[in-house]
Amino acid sequence: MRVRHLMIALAAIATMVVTTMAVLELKRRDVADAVQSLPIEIGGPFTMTAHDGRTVTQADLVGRRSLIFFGFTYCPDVCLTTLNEVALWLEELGEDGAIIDPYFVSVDPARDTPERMAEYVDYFSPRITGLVGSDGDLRRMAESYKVYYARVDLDDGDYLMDHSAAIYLMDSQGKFFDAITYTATFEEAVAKLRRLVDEG
Amino acid sequence: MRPMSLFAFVFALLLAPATHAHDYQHGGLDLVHPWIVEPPPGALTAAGYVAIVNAGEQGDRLLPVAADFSERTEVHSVTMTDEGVMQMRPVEGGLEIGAEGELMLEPGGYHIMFMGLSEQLKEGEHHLVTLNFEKAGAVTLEFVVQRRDSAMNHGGEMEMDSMAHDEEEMQ
Repeated sequence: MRVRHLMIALAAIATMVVTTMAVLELKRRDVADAVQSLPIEIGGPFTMTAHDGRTVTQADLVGRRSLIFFGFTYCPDVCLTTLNEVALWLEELGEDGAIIDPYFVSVDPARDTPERMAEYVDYFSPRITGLVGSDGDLRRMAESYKVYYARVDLDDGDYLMDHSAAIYLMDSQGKFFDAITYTATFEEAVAKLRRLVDEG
Repeated sequence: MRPMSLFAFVFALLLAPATHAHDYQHGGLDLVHPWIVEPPPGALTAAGYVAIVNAGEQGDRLLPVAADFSERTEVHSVTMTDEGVMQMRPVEGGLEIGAEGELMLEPGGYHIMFMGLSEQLKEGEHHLVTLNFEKAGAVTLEFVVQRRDSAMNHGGEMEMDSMAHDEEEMQ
């Protein structure tokens, strides 16, 4: 009898593990689909704190054109490149891009305080707004935007963050319009932004 | 101007790119344009880059890197998954530099990650960084701090500069 109980317990555990793995795999696919087969439901409710302390929600996107992208200030390579690119696109668009509000959302709320975000984004462009929130705020926003992020611990107690790197273009209703992926050229990105301004 | 000095002048001009201020020779390796992208104020980390060209017939490996302006210095890789997720990871066991090959540390790829900066790094400054190679041994280079004024996919000046350089080295 004991052996049978043990077998049943093991089977139950195995089922749980497989189910969990399947769910995780589905989540990963969701992210992939979100980037590849457009349009999909990207966007939705969020409440975050801007680097200047004001509250930013989905309602702030209405009537504007928004760029929403995720990262963390501890990342010296890719995130820095992304922010630099966004600043260059805005510069290229000039007055034509005045309606665009870029939002850099931190996936590292433990380290990214509003003060740190303020210094960081302002270095690239005063037009960029840094957004931070509690773990729960961030999780809800990431769910709305189908964004994946995960903490990766290093041997020495330090940590890095994995995160989706695409930039989402949101229209005047705060709905998903297009995305700029990390591999896009400068010209492609600027063309997409022009379309966002004209048609979004 | 006498003919001889004119010749010397032209020769010096031709030679100029090869004697670039940021080009180092070390144990058969050519270390081209070591630089650190200027971190925003208050940043805790910075990334450093260098192109390593190996003209020799023997391969080598880039082992740990050290700098006295950061608490920890590691070589990191950047990978973009099929799902569009950016992953940065420490490189374990060093990086291979093939015989007659090259290893590029460049934005969006392998980079030297300086973590826990003890000072604010500013454009135009030079900072010493020691690279350890398995065969060529240790070498300390001056990394120049520069602004990332151009996007990676639209041909940064720095990248163009080192690319042009590599081509010269390959010939």
